[in-house]
Order: sequence, then C-alpha cells, then structure tokens
Amino acid sequence: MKRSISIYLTIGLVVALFLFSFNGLAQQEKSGGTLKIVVGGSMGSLNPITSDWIPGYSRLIYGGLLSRDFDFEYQDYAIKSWEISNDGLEWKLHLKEGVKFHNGQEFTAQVLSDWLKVLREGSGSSDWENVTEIEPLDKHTALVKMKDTTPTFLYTLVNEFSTPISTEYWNKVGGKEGYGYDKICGFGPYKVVDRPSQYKIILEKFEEFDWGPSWWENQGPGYVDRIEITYIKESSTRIARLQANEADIIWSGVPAHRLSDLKKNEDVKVVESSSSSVKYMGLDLASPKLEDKRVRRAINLAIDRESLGKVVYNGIGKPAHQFLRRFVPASNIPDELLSRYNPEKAKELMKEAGHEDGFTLRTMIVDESDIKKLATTLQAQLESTINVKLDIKTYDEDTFFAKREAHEGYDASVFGYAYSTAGIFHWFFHSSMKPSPNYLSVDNEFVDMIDESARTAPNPEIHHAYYRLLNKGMQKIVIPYAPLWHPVTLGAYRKNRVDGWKTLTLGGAPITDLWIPADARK
Amino acid sequence: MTLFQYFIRRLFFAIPKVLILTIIIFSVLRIAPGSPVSHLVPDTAPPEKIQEKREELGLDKPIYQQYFIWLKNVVTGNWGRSIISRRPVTDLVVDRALVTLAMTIPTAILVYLIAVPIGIISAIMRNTIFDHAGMFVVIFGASMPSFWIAFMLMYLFSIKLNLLPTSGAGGIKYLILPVASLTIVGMALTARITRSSMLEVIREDYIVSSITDGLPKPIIYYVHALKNALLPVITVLGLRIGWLIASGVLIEFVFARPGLGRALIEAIYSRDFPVVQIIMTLLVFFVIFGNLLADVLYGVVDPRIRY
Repeated sequence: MKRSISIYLTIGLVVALFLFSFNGLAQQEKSGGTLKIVVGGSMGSLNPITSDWIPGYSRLIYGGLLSRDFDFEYQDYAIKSWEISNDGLEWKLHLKEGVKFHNGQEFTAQVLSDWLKVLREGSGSSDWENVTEIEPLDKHTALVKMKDTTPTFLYTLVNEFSTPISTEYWNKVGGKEGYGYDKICGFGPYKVVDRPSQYKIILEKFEEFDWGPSWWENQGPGYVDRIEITYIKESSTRIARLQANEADIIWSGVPAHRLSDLKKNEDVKVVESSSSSVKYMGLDLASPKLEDKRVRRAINLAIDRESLGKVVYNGIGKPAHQFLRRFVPASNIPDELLSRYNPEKAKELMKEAGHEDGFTLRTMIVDESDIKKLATTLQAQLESTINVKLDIKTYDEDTFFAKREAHEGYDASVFGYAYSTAGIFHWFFHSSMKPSPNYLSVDNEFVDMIDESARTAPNPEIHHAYYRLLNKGMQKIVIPYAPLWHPVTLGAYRKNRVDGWKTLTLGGAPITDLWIPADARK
Repeated sequence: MTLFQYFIRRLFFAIPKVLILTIIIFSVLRIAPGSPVSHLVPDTAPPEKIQEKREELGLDKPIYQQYFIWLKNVVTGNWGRSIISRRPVTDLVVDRALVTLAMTIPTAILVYLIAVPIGIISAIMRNTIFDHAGMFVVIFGASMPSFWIAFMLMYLFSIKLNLLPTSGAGGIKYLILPVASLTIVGMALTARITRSSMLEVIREDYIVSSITDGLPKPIIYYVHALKNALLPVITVLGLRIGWLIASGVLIEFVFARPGLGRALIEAIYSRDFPVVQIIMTLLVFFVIFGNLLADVLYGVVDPRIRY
C-alpha cells in the first residue's frame, strides 16, 4: 500500500515537473522581440490629470483599476472586487496585493486616496466629482464615499482617466508641469523608456507585472520585450508601413475604403471590432423649421442608412437606428421605435406638417472626410425624398464648437460622438447643459426628470432601466437627432509577426497575450 | 554704402516688419473662434474650472496685454511651454526645425542644381528634343500634386522595390523620398524662369556679336549670359523659402516626419498659442531673411548693382 502511494506520488511529481517545465519552455518560446505598432489618433500628452483626451494605448503603460472583457462586462484589474452599500453611497474596493508602479512604489489604498488629491489638481476629475473621500480601511481595501449615488461609478473606474499614476513620481518630476511627455509612471505591463519624438514612444516590458485581469490568458509580464508606438496621421502612410514590413500592427485607424486592398494581402490580417462612435444628424429644436415633431420624424424616416453607409463607409459598420450603441444596456428598446427608412411615411408626415414643398436647413459640419461625405450624401437623400435642402457649412473643430457654444448659424449639424454609456443623454440633452453641449436646445421636463432619476439610481440595474425609458422617449417624443451610422474600429496586423491576437470589443487586444513567432524574431 | 552697411540697414528695417506681422498673427489667433482651454478641460468641467484655466494661461487679460507679456518673454528668451504637450517651446521648435531644415536645405540646393541647367540647356537648344523633353519633365512635376508624387515614390521604392523606408525620420535614407518629391515639384518654376530669362539674354546684341566674333560658345553662355540670366532666378529665391515650408507641410504629413510645418498645423488645430506664435514668427523671419539674402546675392552676381 505504502509502495503504491509512493509510486503515485512520484508519478504526480514527475507530471507536475513536466508541466511546469513545459509551461516555462512555452513562456521562453514566446518571449522576446520588438513589436512595432502604428496608431492613427493623436499621441496626446499621456497625462490623465491635465489632458481632455488620452489615447487608448495608454493602458499599456497605466494598466487600469478595472477592465472590460470580451463581452464588455466589468472585470478585475488592479481592483480585485467591489461592493456597493445598500444606499449606493459607499463603494468598497478590494485591491490586488503586490501591484507596483514602474518606479517601485506599491499601489495601496492610501496611494489611491492620495492620487485622488492629485487628480483634483487637474481637469480630469469631473468623473470623480461625486466622491467626497477615499478612506483606506486597510492596506488593500479602500472605502469610497459619495455625496450622491453614482451608478456609473464602474464606468468611471474603467475609463482611461481613472488610471492612477505614482504619486511619488508625480511629486519627483514637479507635478503637472513636469509630468506627461516622456516622464510617465503607471502600473501597466509596459513602461516608457524613451520618447525620441512627439510621434514616437518606446516601451519596455515591466518584468514585475503579474496583476493582469483574470480573463487575460497571460496575467504575467508581456511576451514581447519591447514595443515601439508611432503615431502616423496619414492613413495611406500607416498602411504603406504595414505593407513594407516596417510595422507589425495598425492598432486602429484603417480607413474603410482601404479595407478591400488590405484583405487581398495574404500576409495581413484585418481585425474589425465595435467602436463607441455614433454618427448622427443633430436637429436643433429651437429652429422654427424643426419645431414640429412630425418634421423631425420625417427626416428620420427619409434617410436610407444602408445606402448612406455603402457610399461613405463601403458598408463597413452598421446602420444606426437609434442614438445609443448596441452594447449599451439602455439600447434594448422595441423595434417599432427605431428610425428606419420609410420614404412614403416621411412624405406623408411632411405634408401633414404643411411642409410638402420642403425648406432649407443651415447645416454645419466639422472638416472631417467621413462627416463631409455623410453630409453630402444626406443632402442628396433628403432633397430627393422630402425636398429638404441642406446648406452645408464646414468648420474646423474649434470653430464648430465655438458656434455650438454661441448657438448661432445652424438649424442642423452632422456630427459624431464616442461614448460607451447612456450618460451621453445627460451630456447632450439635459436642460442644464444648454447651450453647449446641449446645442440642440432640448429643454424638456420629461428628459430632465428621467435623466436625474437614472443618474441618482442606487444601482446600475435601475440606472439602465431609467435610461432605457429615456431612450424610448427620445426616439418617439423628443427626436432631436437622426441617427446615421455606427462605424467600426478597423485594425490590421502582419500574420507572420503577431500571434495570440484576440480582438477586444472596442478594438485592440490584451497586450500580454501577444507574441512574435520565433522565426520572425530572428 | 558697402554691402555690409546695406545688410545691417535692411536688417534694421526688417524689425518693424516682423513686429507688425507678430501683432497680426497674435490678434488673429485670439480673435478666431476656439480656445486652447477646450483641449485641456473636459466639456463637463464646471465654469469655475474653465475660468481658473483661462487665468492660469493668461487668457483672461486684454489682448494687447497678452501681446506685450508674450513679446517681453520672447525677447528675454522665455518662449514658454506648449499648452498641449507641456514641453518647452524652445525644445520643441529646435527639434522640429532641425527635421525641417534637413529636408528643405537639400531640396533647395537640388532644385537649383537641376532646374538651372535644365533651363539653360532648354534655352540654348530651344525647340529641339532636349528642350521639349526638359520642359515635359518640368511641367509634369509642376502639374502633379506633391502628395501624389510622394505616394507614387513611396509605392515604388518602399513597397515594391523595398529599397527605402516608407516614412519616418532618421538617417539619409529617410530623406531621399521626401527630398525627391519636393524637388520634382519645386523644379518647375525655377527651370521655366531660367529658360525664359536665358532666352532673353542670348538674344541681346552683346551675346549675338560675341558669337559672330567667334568667342567660344560655352564661355559666352555659361560666363557672360548666365550671370545676367540668373538675376530673376535669384529674385524668386526669397519667395521659394515660403513655398518650401508650405509644400513641406504636406510632405511631412505623408512621410510622417516630425517637422516644423506639421507642428504648426497641429498647433493651429489645438489652438496651442505659444507654439503657433513662435513658429509663425520664425517663418516670417525666414522669409524676410530669404529676400534679404536674394538682394545681397544680386550684388555678388552683378557688380554693377550698387546699394
């Protein structure tokens, strides 16, 4: 009996040793090399405290408090788990142990509390406006106290602006004056080693990283030793780099019209994912021509979104039949409320409203190629269907926003937003947001009331239910927009240079799961 | 007046020109819609935060006060920091200017080295196959948009032949395609002016009589005629600096070169006032200096010109 136990133990040990060494070998097999990534968005300053925008790849450096998995569900990252009090005013955050910044500072509940003070020095703290205090209960448990219920707090914890930076490092480099260009310190899987120009940043594997989200295949340090990220504004140049073997990955920003070219290239894999972007036509409720709800409804019904998407985006993406993206819980509304092409009904509504002969809408747009194409295609569709002419004026982004703020010179606009929660309703349509960002002059008690109920809901489920109700109301009663198109995020990589790619909901892939095949590393 | 005295006098008179232009640039930037604050503060920020940021950047003061503060700082060597990247403007401009100069100086040299001989040969051998071929090449370059030529060169030499990098900045190999693109486009005007000017000069009596006197033609054309024919070519030299920078912006975008033109466009879009003002002032200075240089070269080429 004793003998057989010892035999089993020995076999078990041998198997365990084999598996361990196999795993180690596999790890070794995948490790090494330099990955060259090109990105199309602006590089920004990479300072979440002072910038109004921070690029998505910043997560490689900063990591995150929480993450979103392939199903877009909230999951762990530096925060292991969380609890919400019954009244929704306190959130208990359990931090992972052993999380360290690139400079060696440990990430603890006290650091989280100190970081909030730093965050408030800058401009990026608006998402944390409701937080009155972060009380460290012990080294790895923090109690977040709110002045109001904040059902969107999970979204706050997952967004790029909520990625803590090392407070020690922040003070060392002189605070917001010194931090951000090449002096950056987070707890993500890669650390900044050089920034040779404004358009290039070089990252190196952070060997101590072992707190990747549990849904990543590899929670440890990345397989790739070094990552070079280059910002290239011109999309054709980005593609040329990939084709000439000078880049391994186009993280995002492959234009839809180049997709068929790239798909023909057998060495390149094109990856398509959702995006938080929605293109829409804004209808100013203060415009006398648009004050009749039937006219706004008619415009919604007069748009053939399928053909619009074919002309502008080569059909890449989805027609937008409502203002929210499909992955937003509040988007789940009955089909009859969606804006679908129905030219006969559109004409009928225009006749009922006394506008059978149509009219001209002063329409402002930003100087972006897809928006310009959308606006001109829309111009042709609306004129031919309901005799509504668009007098299009193009402005650079700052002038567009200034016009919005001054609320002058437009009846309509063609624009896009990128936001992945229903909180966009508050942002664009609450009366307190007039004249900008509520530039479509929505001033409706129903909207304000439902929005406020959603924002102060004790938990996310009730929050979503209120916003679903608001979404229905916006589609049926208020109608300050005509949704147009949901573009997708398009990326691409070289098959011989990149392995382990698993596309995330909003583009990109878990970075530590990627590796460069051994023969491509030579 | 000696050449040196003339140079100093012109430099002195350039100061009010630069000052007036800086006032125009400064005012236009401030009056134009948009503000850098919108790039620094999220739209959700409360009004007090926006005001705080405006005060921090000095944008709450009257425009004339802002201008004098800026002027004092520039003169004392304090060029400030980029509002967006927070980098000192001096570092940013020096880095970018080096990249731009590395592309524009060889282009300017090549344009003259290639275009002037084409113009001369076309004039001397007018209405021959050489003239037609030379002018065809030149007009082809002038008719094509610079970015199209850039992409065609990139496609051929980088993607198909894999001889040169597609884009970026680094050693000489990164310069070949951008310089070639700009040179092809830039040659046209210089070659055309050289040709027409040379044609005019070789019809002059002193050239015709030199030919009939039996002087060697190369000496007549390349020593006597060329000197006079070059004057209009030199005139456009100053203006070509402005052209080089303007065309360079597109080329910098296509070849992803982190140069001055690209920095300027991005700074204008983000209303990064300190960066825009310094770069614009430098460009104004370069153009004025280029014209001054052209005037000085007149005297060198033609000693009859007195200052």
